[in-house]
Amino acid sequence: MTETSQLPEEGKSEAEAVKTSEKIQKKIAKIVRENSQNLGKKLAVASLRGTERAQYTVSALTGVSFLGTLLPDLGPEKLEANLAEMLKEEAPEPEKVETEPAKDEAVEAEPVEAVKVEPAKAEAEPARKIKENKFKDIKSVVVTATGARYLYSEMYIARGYAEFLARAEATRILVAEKVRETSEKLGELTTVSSLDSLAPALEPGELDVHLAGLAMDERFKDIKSLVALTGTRYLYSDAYITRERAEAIARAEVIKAGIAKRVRETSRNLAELTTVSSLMEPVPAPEPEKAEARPAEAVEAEPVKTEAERIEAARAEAEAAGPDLLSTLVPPLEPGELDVSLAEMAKDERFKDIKSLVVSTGAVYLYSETFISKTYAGLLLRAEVNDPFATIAETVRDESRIYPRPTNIYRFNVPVFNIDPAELLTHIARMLEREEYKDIKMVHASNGVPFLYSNLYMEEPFAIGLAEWEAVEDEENP
Amino acid sequence: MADYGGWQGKVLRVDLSTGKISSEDTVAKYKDFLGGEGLAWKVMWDEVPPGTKAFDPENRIIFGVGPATGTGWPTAGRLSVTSLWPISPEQSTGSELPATGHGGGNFAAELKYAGWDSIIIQGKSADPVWLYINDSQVELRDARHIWGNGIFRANAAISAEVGPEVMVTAIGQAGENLVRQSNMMAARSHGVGGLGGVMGSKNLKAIGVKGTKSIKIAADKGDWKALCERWMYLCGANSGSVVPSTPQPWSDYYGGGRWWARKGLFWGAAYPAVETGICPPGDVNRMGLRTMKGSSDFSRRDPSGRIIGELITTRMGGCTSCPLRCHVLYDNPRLSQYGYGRYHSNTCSGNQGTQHFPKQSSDTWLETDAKQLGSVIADDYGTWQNYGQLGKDVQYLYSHHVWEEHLTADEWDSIPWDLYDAGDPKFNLFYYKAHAYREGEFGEDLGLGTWRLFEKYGLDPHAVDYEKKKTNWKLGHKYHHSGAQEGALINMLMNRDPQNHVHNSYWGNGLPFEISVAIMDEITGLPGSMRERNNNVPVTRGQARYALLSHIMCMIHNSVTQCDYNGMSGAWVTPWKDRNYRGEPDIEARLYSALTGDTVDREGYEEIGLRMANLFRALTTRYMDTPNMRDDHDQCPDYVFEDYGQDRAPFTPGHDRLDRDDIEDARDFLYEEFGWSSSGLATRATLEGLGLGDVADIMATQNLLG
Amino acid sequence: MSEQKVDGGGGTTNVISGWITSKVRRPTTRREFLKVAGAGGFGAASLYLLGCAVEDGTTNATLNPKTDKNYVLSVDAKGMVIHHAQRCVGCRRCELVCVEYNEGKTNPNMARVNIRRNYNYGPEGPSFSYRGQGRWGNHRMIGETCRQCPHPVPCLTACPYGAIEVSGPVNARVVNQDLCQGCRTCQRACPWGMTTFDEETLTAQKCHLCDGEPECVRTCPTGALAYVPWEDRTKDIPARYSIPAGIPQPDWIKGSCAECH
Repeated sequence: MTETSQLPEEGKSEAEAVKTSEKIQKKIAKIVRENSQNLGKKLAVASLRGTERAQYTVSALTGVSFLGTLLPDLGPEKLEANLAEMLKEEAPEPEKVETEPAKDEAVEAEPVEAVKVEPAKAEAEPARKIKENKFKDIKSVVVTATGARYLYSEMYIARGYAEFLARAEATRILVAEKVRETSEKLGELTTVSSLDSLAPALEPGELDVHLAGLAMDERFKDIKSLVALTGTRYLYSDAYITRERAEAIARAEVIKAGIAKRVRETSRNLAELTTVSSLMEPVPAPEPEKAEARPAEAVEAEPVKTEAERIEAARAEAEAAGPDLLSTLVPPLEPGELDVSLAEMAKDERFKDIKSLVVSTGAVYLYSETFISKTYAGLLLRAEVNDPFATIAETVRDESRIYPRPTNIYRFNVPVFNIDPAELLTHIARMLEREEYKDIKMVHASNGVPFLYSNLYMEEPFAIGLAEWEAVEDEENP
Repeated sequence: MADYGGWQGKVLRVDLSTGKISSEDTVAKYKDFLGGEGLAWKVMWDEVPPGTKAFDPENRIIFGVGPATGTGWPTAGRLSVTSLWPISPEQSTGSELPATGHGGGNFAAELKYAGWDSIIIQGKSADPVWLYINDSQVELRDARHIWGNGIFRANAAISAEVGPEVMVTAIGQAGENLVRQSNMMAARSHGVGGLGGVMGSKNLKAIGVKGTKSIKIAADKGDWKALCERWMYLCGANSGSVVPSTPQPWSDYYGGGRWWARKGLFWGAAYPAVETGICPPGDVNRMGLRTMKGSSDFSRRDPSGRIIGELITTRMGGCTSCPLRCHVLYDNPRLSQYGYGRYHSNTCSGNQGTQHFPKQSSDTWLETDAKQLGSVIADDYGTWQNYGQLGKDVQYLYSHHVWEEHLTADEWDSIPWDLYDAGDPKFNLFYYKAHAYREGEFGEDLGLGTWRLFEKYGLDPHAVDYEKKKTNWKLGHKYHHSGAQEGALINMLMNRDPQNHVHNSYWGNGLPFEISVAIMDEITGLPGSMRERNNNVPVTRGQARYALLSHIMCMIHNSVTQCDYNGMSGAWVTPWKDRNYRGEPDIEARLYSALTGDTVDREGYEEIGLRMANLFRALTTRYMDTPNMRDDHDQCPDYVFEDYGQDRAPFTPGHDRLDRDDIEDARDFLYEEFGWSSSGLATRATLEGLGLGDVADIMATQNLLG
Repeated sequence: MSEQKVDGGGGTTNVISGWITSKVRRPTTRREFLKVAGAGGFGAASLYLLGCAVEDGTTNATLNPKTDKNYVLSVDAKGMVIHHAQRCVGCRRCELVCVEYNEGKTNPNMARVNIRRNYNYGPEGPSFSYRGQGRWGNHRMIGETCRQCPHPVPCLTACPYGAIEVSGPVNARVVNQDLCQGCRTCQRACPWGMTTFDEETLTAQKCHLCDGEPECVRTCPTGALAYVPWEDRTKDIPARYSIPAGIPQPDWIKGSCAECH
């Protein structure tokens, strides 16, 4: 931050104008160099961690618009004219830093356009008289996404680093925009992972550095962060979403993600339904001490010095605990939370494979359709209910309706039906006597094998014909 | 001339009478017939005139393989052996009708690796020989020291002579003794039905092949890989099942079929045991576990309640290149007590060495022993039971006292009928030997084949049908894979039991009927192309077109060669719900095109099948020398028009009874679809349209042109 | 990595230090080898050191196998294919795809995984007892896979042309098809007979692990083949063949063993 300058009057002679220009340009150069040098000094002092360095990033570049505020009497046209002169004998185009805001679809990561720097002795010399350029260390860099231009002195800041600083600025601006918009218009949190598409030109890990810088940037102090137990990192603007609300949203996400993961893994690995009550039970931790230390809710446990440090600490804790434990944990739920979560999940594209089944007792079972078919889930449900009569009769009705075919009674001798083979005939005999199952009839193949069918869907001759086929005739056509 | 992939370019010809060994250009002579069965029809047409008999030296026997055989085209490991069929009745011309036996294992693939596209055998050797093929080195070797021994010993002797990697097809004593109903074994457990006697009549004991050559693949290797993997992604289990047999998490449907894999079902005799487990579609590394045939072939439980088949199965086996595995490779230590090894293998009917017994033994282990002992003895002697038909014949003749009345008293008494009545395995020690050596009248009878057997005793061959329901079809061949009018049509077209798994697998795919019929209507382009089991309605053209497609695709499979047991799995139907269970109907044409470089679409590929089917038709017509194929050949036995013990009307639910007039309609539809005359003769237009104008010329001279 | 002083040829081994890996293992002159040696302590007992002819652009073409004395040390492979006999169903798809998906033709005889050898009778060979292994015995399929041998790699050290290299992302032992002269020495050198030969290109073939995604493993319908982290399998199964004494050591190998041992 420098003093304003006394500017010469307009209407002076050409020579005087040139001299005035020189003075102005010297002033500009001084500002730019000083800002650049500040960083240089700091860098030389100690090896800074990225987060500390971030504190100095923005001020190391000198924004053109910022420059304008330092030299208000100059006016934009004169400023541009002087800058043009100062920058003229360098590369024909200022380096562009491609940080485009993401479109709806994933944006191809475009590398930063490496501008081929022409050698200082360019072949095409401008017509104007060339003086030795005292300002050839002054370079500019443009952020195309925001249109902002920045100046820096090459004596103190290398080009690559200047680009980095510009990217930092651009990233902060774009992230803040997106987070604020999402917070305001949608009332939703923004996951850090979704920000990758905003700045495809960034190197791996660079985003975190810029986010750390953003956390300490006064301009963006409304942007807050939150780390859920799943390790998911969120940002939100507390101008639109309170801390409490953000924690509630994150918690809901944790619950839903935990439910989905638990259900999918049970479906895939065990081919079983997940009872809702089992969701209420915490997953036993491998080491009890760790479970103790873990906060029950998605809030930070201990105070940290900086937001950036807090983010890093939470991430480290999440990693130390192990991803599986975190990801399958569903925190103890408040009354009603589960129903709310399931209701939200039912409408959420991300969880469209999670299905629920309800029995007359009100018990709810979940499964993932990716790994368990609807039919199989229905059979598992019957097995859970453990009413052999219903299992037999309903299966028979289904088969009579769907294929259609009568059901060989020995089909029930597989575990999924949960019927003791020794009791099968007894169950059938008793079931057939019940009024509510009066549509279920028995026929025999000529070799005596019994079949059941439902006369709601099938008539006896048809049933006999297919029973005969399955039990006798098929055997004769091996 | 284009340089095709798949074919090796040379067909081997061996004249056993002169010892001459020569080769022919596959592509120039046989490309239009693919190979395998189709190539054999061409050879028979050109070289085996009516009047030739199955056991004449001038009869040919063709060991057929096709362009796909031996490559990584999944399931392309099959052998088709064609000749005049010994158990077929002699026609007015003096010839038996021609037919093909099919087998698997590794012999067919090895023949391709040796650089050959098929073997044509003619003549008769003065002394027993075996044919040794070692790449281009082909020679006839003395087999007198092997003759008289079983198939197992022949394999071991040949392996000891030329190395363990040799793949052998051999006959046993049954074939040597010119038993009509005998077979050859193309591998440890792969029987090729019906033609053992033809080899025996030529004094050809075995063929042993070793091959080291490449087969060219026309397509880019990445495209070839993608296509083969595509088929494996789309296919179901063995026998075309696209739903699991028991409810599985990955499927909305279940029931029937051969996708038996489930938690708790093991290859129990593997060391350590292998669980079949959950085997969803698309999981290539578990495809071989889908079809646990052991617990199906030996489904009875031992006294502790465990399934015997599960206890004894070490693994599944099958043919070269097939990921689906349908042979049961088992270890039953109890077999050693009978003097045979404890390790044996086979599948389906081949595992059922008790079909002749009057009843199942209540001792489940004893019954299993009997089944397996019968199987291993049969595989060693090379006897054949015509896919279970012989067992029914034996039951009938015994229970109707035919043998009791006709055999000499001495012979009758010498037969251990007490063991037979008990279903004792030791009966099989006698039974198969009698069959193989034609011992006594009884042994002779076992090898005649149904038609000659019943003729001998002046019995109606269909007499057995009324007792055992549907068995014998006509002209000595067994009913097999039938079902409604389309099944009847398929049986009518053949000279032996159809072995048509295109049809059988599709009907058994396991999906709800309304899905299956909808898919089939899309395939045929006609409505009502499929019937529910035992629930017939008047025939539609769609059913006839389905029968035609089943017939030609089966023939294509047996010619290209690809396993027919999977039917059109992957092509017509798949296990994938997100494809609405539809396959990619042109995938076989794409495989053929990619392999050979001969680009055809689905219709073009089917046209090859039509050509072969028409040549087969002309061939059969010529051997029968009848202008009325409709009545003389395309017979339907009476029992399809009757209802046993009941009198339910045709086209009422619950049974398969057909109507005579309706079957006439079915024949009409079929002939129209094929382009044949109303008497069932191929027409000139049809033949010429398929490039068989020369065939039409010959048929015209004999007034056999439609 | 700093350089060590080289003391002419034939002197004592200088301490070679640092961690040197190279993508392509080729024999190199001692001089070049030591040029890229590093500072720091001696490496692990298994001597993960390689000549880095790559780095100064030297190729085999510039070496005279008859006169240049070299070190040959091979880094361990990272993975290997193993075969589970109790799961194998003998379909031979592994042999088929090994060649079809790599060379684009069908030839299981040259496949680099071997089911065919033991298919019928097991390793014991033809038998009239029907109680051995294989299809005519107890059905057990004894499949064989390349062990990706640790140093000294028999096929690699036997090759007179240095055509077998440690190569690719998983350090498989690979026949360089451009360098192979088809002498078949490697076929005689492998104690388990796992090297095969392409009769059309007249070059040797051996398992290269398909650069870490083996096709055989991918296609096996029962999961009998698995791709697992490498370990030394050269001691657990007896050699099938004894290596003929008549295989001469290539000149460029001769004496190199003494340099380290």
